[in-house]
Amino acid sequence: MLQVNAINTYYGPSHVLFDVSLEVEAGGVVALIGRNGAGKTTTLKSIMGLVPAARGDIVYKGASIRDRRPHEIARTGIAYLPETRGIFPSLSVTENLNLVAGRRPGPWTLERIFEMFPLLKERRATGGTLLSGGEQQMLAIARSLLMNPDLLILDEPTEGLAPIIVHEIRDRLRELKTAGMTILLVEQNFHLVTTLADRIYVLGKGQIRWSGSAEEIRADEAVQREWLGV
Amino acid sequence: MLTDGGFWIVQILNSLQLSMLLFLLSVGLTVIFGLLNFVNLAHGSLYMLGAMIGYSIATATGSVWLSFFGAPVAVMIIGAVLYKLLIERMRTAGPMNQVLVTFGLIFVLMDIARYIWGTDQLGVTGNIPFYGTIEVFGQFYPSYRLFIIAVGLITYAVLYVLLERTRLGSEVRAGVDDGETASCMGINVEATFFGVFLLGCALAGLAGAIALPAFSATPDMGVGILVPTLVVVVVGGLGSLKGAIVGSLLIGTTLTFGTALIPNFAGIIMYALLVAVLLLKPEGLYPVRA
Ligand SMILES: Nc1ncnc2c1ncn2[C@@H]1O[C@H](COP(=O)(O)OP(=O)(O)O)[C@@H](O)[C@H]1O
Ligand SMILES: [Mg+2]
Repeated sequence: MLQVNAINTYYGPSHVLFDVSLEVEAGGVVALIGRNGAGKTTTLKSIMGLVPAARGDIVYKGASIRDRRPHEIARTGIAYLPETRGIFPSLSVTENLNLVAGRRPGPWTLERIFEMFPLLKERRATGGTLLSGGEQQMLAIARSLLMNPDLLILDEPTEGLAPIIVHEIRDRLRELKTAGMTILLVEQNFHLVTTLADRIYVLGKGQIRWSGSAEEIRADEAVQREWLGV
Repeated sequence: MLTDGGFWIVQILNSLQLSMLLFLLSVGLTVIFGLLNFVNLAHGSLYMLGAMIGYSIATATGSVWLSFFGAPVAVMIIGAVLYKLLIERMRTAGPMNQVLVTFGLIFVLMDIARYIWGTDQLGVTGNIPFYGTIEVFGQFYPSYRLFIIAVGLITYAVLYVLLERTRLGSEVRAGVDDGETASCMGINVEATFFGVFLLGCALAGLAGAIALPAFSATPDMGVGILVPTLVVVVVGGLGSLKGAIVGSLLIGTTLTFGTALIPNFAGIIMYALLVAVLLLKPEGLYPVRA
């Protein structure tokens, strides 16, 4: 569904990604892991067109999206949940959700979202930033689903959240995987990654250093030590 | 004078009328600041063009009403041309370049206006709607000036509903909060901003057109109104509709009463107010971005 082919990305003069390639198949869960500053967020931003790749190509559903603008890429069915969660402070919970509701046809409706996240229903009139960190992340996930995406991209969805919320997010992601959602996940939680992902890419200093299955990385202590610091 | 109730009533109405003109101008300027991060000093010149074009429409057709619709449309078209030629290219040029270029634009537009309309004071006399006076709490006041107040208040109400109660309004607010994330929601932020910019231009043109029958128009009228408009934007908080209306009321009242009571110090009082707000709330009274 998504092929990233040898992309190189820069912030001004500083070269951050070096020939990064990865592939996400329809219905699969792919994880991208690595230390802080490795280039994980930049990879996702290049896919979304926020920090366009200077060289290499990004192919989604058979067409290059490298030079498309972020709103066009979003409309092709990619939902991106940024590391900062991206909840709009001036908008209430419902307004945050309605921003994307009905843009693309699909199984997710406001009612179904409120069923899956009853807490959001309770707090629907609340301003976006008056929510706790966990509630904001739930809202961000809910909003991504409401885009009825074909590909869901998540940047560290459990970062900085209490264990009980991390469990809830893990359960939701499992449900989505079972339902056949295609997911590209950046995540520091090694346990979460290895229980969820079909395929794992390890990014180090802007380059893909390793790729394989969850069992393989669990067994490969050298990779864990060198590129993850586990 | 001060114990005369009539004085206060007339000055309060004058304040409201100036405040509403400032509101029509500052609301466009503030959303352009807030959304586009763009400093458009030539916004006051659009007000002047609104008055001038309004004059031409009113004298050519004999209908002042028509000028209230024609002038905003014409100014919006001028805004679109300026956007495509200049502003779009200068989006990332940094505030200093934007200030210099739009400052220069003030003089270009002023000279173009001098060339077309001359330097005399222009005014319309015939066919003014709401001509005459009306009694307000025992004071006779020009009805037309009440009409200006009504236009400002109605515009505020319409903009409030648009911004707070519609999906388009949510998209605009999301874009002001965080344009990058908004684009990832499938919102064409650039197109939204362009639309908002055009609306701001149209409101500046409307302000000029409705000011014309009450005052006279000259090519430099855009310069005089620019400073109080900028003060409103800074006092109210960049990008805030509420800030624009509250700031306009504050500055309009300060200027009107200042001029009536201590004529030589009216401008200084406005700056004192600006400094006080900046010291107490540097982001303005109603900052949009926390
Ligand atoms: N906006 C930016 N401007 C310049 N350099 C940046 C910017 N964002 C990130 N970087 C640099 O790019 C590298 C990769 O960052 P990032 O993709 O955020 O890493 P990760 O998500 O893996 O922690 C880091 O060295 C970081 O300092
Ligand atoms: Mg990151």
